This record gives sequence, structure tokens and C-alpha cells, in this order.
Amino acid sequence: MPVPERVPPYAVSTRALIWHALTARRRDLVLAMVLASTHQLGESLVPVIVGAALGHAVAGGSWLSMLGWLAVLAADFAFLSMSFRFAARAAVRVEQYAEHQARMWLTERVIGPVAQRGLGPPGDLLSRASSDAARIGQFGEQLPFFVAAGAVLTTSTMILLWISPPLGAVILLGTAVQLLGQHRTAAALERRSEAEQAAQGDAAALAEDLVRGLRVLRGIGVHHHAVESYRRASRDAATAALRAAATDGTLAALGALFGGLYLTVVVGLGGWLALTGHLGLGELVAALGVARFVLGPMEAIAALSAAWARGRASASRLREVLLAIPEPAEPAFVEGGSPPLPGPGALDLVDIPGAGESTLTLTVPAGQMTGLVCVEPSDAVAVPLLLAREEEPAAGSVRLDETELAAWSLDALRATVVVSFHDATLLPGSVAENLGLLAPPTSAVLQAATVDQVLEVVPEGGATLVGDRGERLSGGQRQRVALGRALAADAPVLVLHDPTTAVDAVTEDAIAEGVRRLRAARTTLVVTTSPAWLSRCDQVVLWGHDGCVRGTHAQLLADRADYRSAVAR
Amino acid sequence: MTSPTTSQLLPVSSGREVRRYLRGLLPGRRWLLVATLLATLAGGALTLPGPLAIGWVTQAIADNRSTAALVGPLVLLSVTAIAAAVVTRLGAVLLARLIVPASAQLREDAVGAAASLPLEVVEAGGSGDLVARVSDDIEVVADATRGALGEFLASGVAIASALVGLATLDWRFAVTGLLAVPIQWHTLRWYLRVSQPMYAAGREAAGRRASALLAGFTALPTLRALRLGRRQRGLIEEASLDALGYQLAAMRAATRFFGRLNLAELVGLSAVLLTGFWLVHTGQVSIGAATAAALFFVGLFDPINTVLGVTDTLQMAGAGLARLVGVVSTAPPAEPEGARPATVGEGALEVSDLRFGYGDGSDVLTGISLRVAPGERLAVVGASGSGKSTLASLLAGLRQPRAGSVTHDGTPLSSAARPSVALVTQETHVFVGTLADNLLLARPDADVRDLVEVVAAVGAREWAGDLDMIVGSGGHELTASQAQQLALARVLLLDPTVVVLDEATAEAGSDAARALDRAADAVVVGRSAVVVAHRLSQAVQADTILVMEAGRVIERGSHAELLVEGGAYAALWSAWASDGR
Repeated sequence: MPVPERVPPYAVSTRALIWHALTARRRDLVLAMVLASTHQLGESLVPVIVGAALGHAVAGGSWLSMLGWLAVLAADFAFLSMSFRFAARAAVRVEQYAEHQARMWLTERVIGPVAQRGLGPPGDLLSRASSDAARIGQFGEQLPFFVAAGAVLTTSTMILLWISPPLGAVILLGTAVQLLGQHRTAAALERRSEAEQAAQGDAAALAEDLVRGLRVLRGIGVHHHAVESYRRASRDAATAALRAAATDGTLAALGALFGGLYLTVVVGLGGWLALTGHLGLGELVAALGVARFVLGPMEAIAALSAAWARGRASASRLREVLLAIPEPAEPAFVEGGSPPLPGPGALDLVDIPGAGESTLTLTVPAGQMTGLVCVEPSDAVAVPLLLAREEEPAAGSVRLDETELAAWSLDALRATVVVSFHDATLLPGSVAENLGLLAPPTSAVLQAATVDQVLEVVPEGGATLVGDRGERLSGGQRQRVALGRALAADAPVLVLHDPTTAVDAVTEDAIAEGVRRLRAARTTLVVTTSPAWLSRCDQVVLWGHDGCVRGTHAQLLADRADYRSAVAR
Repeated sequence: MTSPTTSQLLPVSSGREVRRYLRGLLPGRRWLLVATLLATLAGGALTLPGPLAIGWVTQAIADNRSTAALVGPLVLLSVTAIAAAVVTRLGAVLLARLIVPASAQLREDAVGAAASLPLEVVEAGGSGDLVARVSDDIEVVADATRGALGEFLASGVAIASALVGLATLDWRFAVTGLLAVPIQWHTLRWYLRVSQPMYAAGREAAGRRASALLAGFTALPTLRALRLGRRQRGLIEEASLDALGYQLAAMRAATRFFGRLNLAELVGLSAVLLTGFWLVHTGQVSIGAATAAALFFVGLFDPINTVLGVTDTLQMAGAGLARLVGVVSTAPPAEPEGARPATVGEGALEVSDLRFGYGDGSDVLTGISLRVAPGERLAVVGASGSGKSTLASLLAGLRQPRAGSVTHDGTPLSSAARPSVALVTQETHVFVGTLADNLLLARPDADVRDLVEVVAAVGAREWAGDLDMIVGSGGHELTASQAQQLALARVLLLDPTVVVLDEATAEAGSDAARALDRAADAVVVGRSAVVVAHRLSQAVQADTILVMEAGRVIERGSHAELLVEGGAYAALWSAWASDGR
């Protein structure tokens, strides 16, 4: 994947991403590693103490000294139990904060101020922000215990080397052979895990899409067909999951094989040494106890490669999103308010290409209401997107108060120019919360957008919940709440696109008049073909096939056939 | 944390419903289950030869035997190692075959059920919560059951066989080892009681987190344009940290649980050691047997902790499972294939004395009666909020009336079995996939010629020439009117006898709207139609116009008749007509 020039350090590589996420809680990571190791130390002392106690029993020790050994055992248990308790708590903090960190990186990229292209559907993003972030966390949670397993191997090797150098050497050899043996399988698991996550993401995307489009499907009674498509995606995901599981099983089998063979060698060698008189019985019992205890860590090494493979696969899916979006031209979510408006709030668009041959040249004078009629519907969609800097013009220039839009900070620009798209989405919450998202709405605002009427009609007034995207309101109610939300900001410049397509003619008339009065001294651009709005504009610009014409609604109606056709209903 | 997203969550199942559902998954998987059990049984049995071989070797040394005594134990150990590898692989594959398709079926059932839930339930619950259930929750369930169930079975077997092993050495070892059991039993009961609500709340928090994420991901341009991204980021962070808090709390409880299990181990091990000491001291067992017994018992720690720890994971999975089965069991019983009438009803759409309200709110429609004869066109007009769209959704069977009836060809409409009424509203949704995929939703068996034909009929040939174009979220963005043309083309492909168009052509002014009107005409032709419109040009051609106000029909008649009457319609018409010029 080509890496854009300015990537944050955590997105440089999958390894870097995992590492940066894990070290979100550096102290916990170290703490968990240390405590998990001391826990393992305590665990590995158990067979040693047992062996010592029994050896002592054979030697004819007293009951009292046996009780002494039991006290040693109890002390060891207290030690290992407390070690585990705090190791596990620290490890889960590492896991959870790593997951949270990865999720927030993705979130900041996706909903940050800079528009991006090429993102997957919301359900796919959700799956990356949940499932993939979680897998990175899971690796973090397991890592301390792997480190501890490593510590056990080291300690056991040393103990065995002390008891019997040949037995210690066997551990070293066994570990090396195992790591080599499972390397390729681990690489295969990484690929299959990524395929599995991708297929799960596709299924999640379909499910989310289906639920969001459910009313449309139900309207024509074909939801079962969409469920069928989901079923297919779900089956694909299951197949991919089975493949990954098989590879996972191979890794685990390798762990079991190496562990078992290793035990065989240690028992054989140790037994031979003991039988030929090179090793005492007590030493052998201790050595075999230690050797058996090493089996767990050997399997942990197999599990480590599996967790690492899965973590990397998921980190790579997160990185796809982090790199799909260019590094913001400015830091995300700059703190502090926007600078005061330097100019009066005039817009100038010069020679902007559109869908047709002609280009748009439009001046929106400060303090006036301007109407823009686009003969090409896709141009009507594009102009608000340009002004919101969702898209950059292919050519020409867009200026706010004589300054190119690109020279404004996004935050200051959007504080000055509020763009309310045609499909402006409401957010989860109540009607009142939505209205107050930008600023508390005044009663004049509520009246202008006729939201006061909406508040009377909806069941619980301002406290009525709008649903996830406003779907619990009717189309007309939704548009009026969105309009009220934008008006409440009392922005120096307001850009509206077809704000009243879902309301009746009488209400539309009232809204157009209300907005006109409310924004008497402010700059307003309305992209529409609705005569209710156009007839109230100080000036109207028609973007036709042969260029732009400026006039009033009445003049253009009289002079231009294409205008009459565009606004006629 | 409280979330403004949802007032009432979708239902969550009781343990009994979950068990019933799981039993339903069993048929057809019985042999797989048996095979998995056998594989794990074998895996558990393969933990036995290790300590046995060690015991032999120890004894051989104690007895001063020759090195030939090693051959038996070594052969046993190496065969065991190979067998363990084979069984491990087999067990993993079998277990995945058992769990993965079953969990896929569960999520498919949940999506299928969600798709046929009453709309009010989905809307009240929030679609984010629903999506979280079929993605997040199912993953937790699948991972937990796959990972944990295998360990659980294997460990259970290991425990049983270790206990048997202990008993064969000397029954007294087994008996004293059992001293740990009451402590473990008590600990387990305490923990299940404490952790169950914790996990349920944790899954719920994860659902809220998914809702917050989706709310952000689906509102993108608006969030940026209105500088609401920072706020949404804050909400997501809050929800994410909230869910995280539940995980940390659950781990605190879990570590206390494991602490108490350690105590049980200590008690058991001390008892075994004392027994060993006594038995060896009094010459009743050999030192080899005492060593093997102690090692057996130490070897029990891991599987016992695993088994008890797995109850923890299964507890978490159970919380997710309850949320999924909750969706599945709320849905109306699945409609068997072919339940839809083979012949399309040709009769009239009739509504008599209809009354309707949302949730337990007051009535929003009262005393509505109407009849649309085959081939007739009915227009419904009225101010915003007068109940037109609600009426349209009832006509299409999307919602159920409180009183009165909606029948088509004499058959009552219900969302479960809807014969032939199609509703298109101003709300469009372009599904992720190709243009063809979007159309085929209406009729999966349609061929390319059908698709090209309907695309042409709605006047979309110009932009929809490439049926393989990827559209929807993340794909090529369609304008509102293009999305609506797509919806109308879908209806043409579906070919219903009645269409209900609810402001279906309102989403664009001007030329686009007229193109849409033409597309709508193509859909209406030859069918009964109900057209809800504030663009009165659409009402003019209707056979009958209903004028609604505050949930009632206040006027009824043709365009000409209503103008003469000089009532509400005449007033609407003059506002509409005056605007144009």
C-alpha cells in the first residue's frame, strides 16, 4: 500500500499501529508483564515445593517439618494468586485501552473535519471500529502472559541447566524448533484471518445497509430478498471463518506435537541419566515436574503466533482506513472557537465547471438573499458541497470575502458559512436536542422554520425522539427541524439546498417568508427551483446551458424560457 | 450513561428462550456434536499418559531397573504426542464446523427476524442497536463458544480422568482432593450471580457504542458541514469508555473469582500432600505413587480453572445470545415459502373506519374510509402533518390499524403476508452493491433485458446505462431524484397491482421532478394507485382527491368538484398556483 507523505506515527505500519495502541497504557503493560511473570514464577515453584516436600517425606521427615513445607506452599499460593489478580487487571486495561485507542483513531479519521473519499459503507467501518479494534486489544491482553511464558521458559531452562545441563539444552532446542516449525502456519493464519475479517465486515455492512433501508424494502414487500443476500454474505463469512479456524487448529496441533515430543525427550534423557547414576531421584522428580510445567508455555508460544497473526490482520484493516484518507491539512478538532468574522460575508464563485458545458459565475452579495437555479440537477447538489469544502472545484475559484476558501481554516469557514444540505441528517436524540445542536433556537427561528407547528404535532413536543437519523419524523417535519437547526446558528452566511421539498405549498410559502425576514441583514444562498423561495430573493442567478444570467424571479420568468421550464411545476 | 438514542431497547430473551432456540439448532448437527465430543474426549484422555509414564520412570529408578525399562514409557509418550497433535487439529476443525455455521445461522435468523419486525419496534429500538446485535454480539458469541466450549469439554475430560487417575493410585488421594470442591462450588455460584448482570449491562453498553459509531458514520457530510464531528467524537468516546468500564469491572470480579479458586487449590493440594506423607510414612503407598498423585493434582489446576473460567466466557456469550435470540423471538413467525398468493388479487383496495396512533400516543388517524377500484387513481392532499404519510403506510400494510380494516381484494393486509401493494415514499435508500443488485431486490429472477427495460421506462437510461456500476454508501453517489428513479424502476420490476406513492416525486424541484413525474406515471399506468402529493399538479389527474386535516378526511371529490366547493382544497390550489407565476 502506498503510504501518503504525512502519516501519523501509529499508521506507519501494522506493527507500529499495534505497538502504539498497546502503549496507550504503558505502565499497565509493564505492570502486567512483570506480575504475569511473577505469577508464573509462583506457579513453577509449586512442583518444586511439592517435590521437596515429598522427598523430605521419604527421608523420614517429621509431621512438623511437613507442616513447615505446607506453610511455604501457602506463601507461594498467596504470592502467585495476588500476582495473577493484578496482572490480569492490568492486562485487561491494556486490552481495553488499546481497543479504545484504535477505535478512536479510526473515528477521528472518519468523522474528522476533512472530507474523504473511498471509505467503505458504515457497517464495514463499524466492523473495523469494533471487531478489528477488539482483536488488537486481545493481542495486548495476551501479550503479558506470553512474556510471562517466555520468562517461565527461561527460568525453567535455567533450573534444568542447574539440575542437569543436557535437560536444559533440550528446552532451548525444543523452543527454537517450534518457533521455526510454526512460522509458515502463522503467516497463513494472518492471511486467512484478514480474509475472515473482510468477509465479516462485508456481512456487517450488508446488515447495516439492510436495516437502514428497511422501510424502503418493507414498502414494496421485498425484505426477504435482501435477507437472502445477507444470508449469502453470512455464509461466505462463515466459510472464511472456517478456513481461519482450520489454520488456527494447525498451529495449536503444532504446539501440542512439539510439547509432547519435547516431554518425551526430557523423560527419556532424564530417566537414562538417573538410571545410569548421573542424576538423583529427587532431582529427577523435580526436573520432570519442571519439564511438564513447561508444556503450557510451549503451547502459549503457538497461541502467541496465532494472536499476533490475528492482531496484524486487523491492524492492517484499520490502516486501510487511516491511509485511505489524506492526513488532514490541519489538526483534527482544533481547540478553541473560530476567529471573528473579518469580512461582511460575501461569496464569489468564478468559472466553476459543472455537469454541462457552461461554467458557474456567481456573486452572493453580503446581507442579501440570493437564489441559484441550476438547470442540471447534479450541479445543484455540487454547489453546496463546494461551499462546505466537501469537494474541491475542478477549476475556477471560490472565495469568501475575497479569500479563497482553501485559505480559510475549515473550522472558521464552517463557522462563517453554514451549509444545510438537501439530505441534512438529524442526529439521534430529541427534537429539541437536534434544534439546539448549533445554538439554542430563538422563538423567531422556530417560527420562521415553522418548527413551532412541528412541536405542537409530535407526541411529546420537544422531547420527542427523532430516531437514529430522524426516521421517526415525517419528511416535512424532518426538513423543518434541519432548517431550524441551521437557522439557529445565525451564521453570517447560510447556504440552503431545496430546504422544503417535503412540505405543502402553504407551509413552504410561510417558511420562505419567515426565513427571508429572519435573515434580513444576513447573507443567504438558496439553491432551489421553488418559486416560493425564488420570488423572495433579492436576486436570482440562473445557471443554464449557455452560462449564468442574473435577475429577479419576475425578470427571469419573463425573459427566459429555460428558467420558466426549470421552475414550473 | 444514558443515551438519547433509544427510549426502549429491542427485547432481550430470557434464559429459557435462549435454551429453546439452541435446542432448535441441534437437529442436523447431532453427529457433528458427537464427533466433537469424541475428539475432545480423546484429547482429554491423551493428557493421562504423561504423568503415568513419569510415574513408571520414577518407579523404575526407585527399583533400580535397567535402562530398558524406559522403552515402554517413551513409546507411550511419543505416540501420545503425535496423537495429541492429530486430535487437536481434528477437534479444532470439528468444533469450528459445529459453532461457525450455527452462529452464522443465528445471525441470519436475527437479520431475517429484524427485517420482518414491526417497524415501530425497530424504530423505537434504534437500528444501531440492531446492527450491533448482528455484528458485535454474534462475534462475541461465536468467539466465546468456539474458544471456550472446546477448552471446556477438553478440561472437563481432563479433570474426570485425573480424578480417576488419582483414585487408581489410592482412593484416599481422590477423596482428599475433593476437599477443594465445596470451595469451588460456592465460588462459582457466587460468581455467576455477580457477573450475569454485569455482562448483560456490558453488552448493552457495547450496543450503545455501536449506535454512537453508526450515528457518526451515517451522518458524515452533515457532521462536517455543521462542525458537529467534535461533538459526535465526544459521544463515541463516552460510549466507548462506558463499555470499557463494564469490561474492567467484569475483570475485577473475575480476578476475585480466580483468587478464591486458588484457595481451593491450596486446600486440596495440602490435603493430598498430607495424605501422601501419611501413606508413604506408614508404608501403604510407594513414593512413586505419592509423586504421581501430587502431580496429578497439580495437573488438575489448569483444567479446573479453565472449566470454571469458561463459565465466565459463556456467561458473556449468554448475554450476547440473549440479545440475538431476543430479536429472533420477537419477530412474527416466518412466512413459509409460497405462502404468498400465487395469483395477484385484482380487486379493490378498501379502507373502512380506520383508526391509528403511534405507540401508546393519541390517535393520528380517525374515521378514515376509502375505496380504490381496480385501475383507479386516488390522490391524497393536505397540509404537512395531516396524516397522509401515515395513511400511506397503513395502505401498504406497514403498520397495523388500532381499529377498522384495510383490505385488498377482500383480504386483510398484514405485514406478514402482503399480496400486491407497493409503497414508494420520498425516503430513498440506495443499497450497497451494483445498480443491478438494487433492482434485483424486487425480483431476483429477472434477467438483464427486464432490467434494461425498467431502467428505460423510468427514464434513467442516460445515467444508469452501466448496470454494474457500484452504488450506495461508499460507491457512486446518486442524486435524490436518481435514487427515486431507481425505486420506481424496482416497483415496475415487481409489478404489483396497487401502488402507493407517498410524495415519491417530491425530492427535486424542476426538470428532475417532471422526469420523476413521468417515471411515476409509467409505474401508475394500468394499476390502482394512491398518490400522496403536495405538488398539486399530480392531484389534478386523479379520479378522486381526498383532502386530509388533522388525521381526518375533510373533503372528497374530483379536482373540478373540489374547486367549485371552494373549501380547503380550493385554498391549497390557489396557494400552489399563485406560486408558479
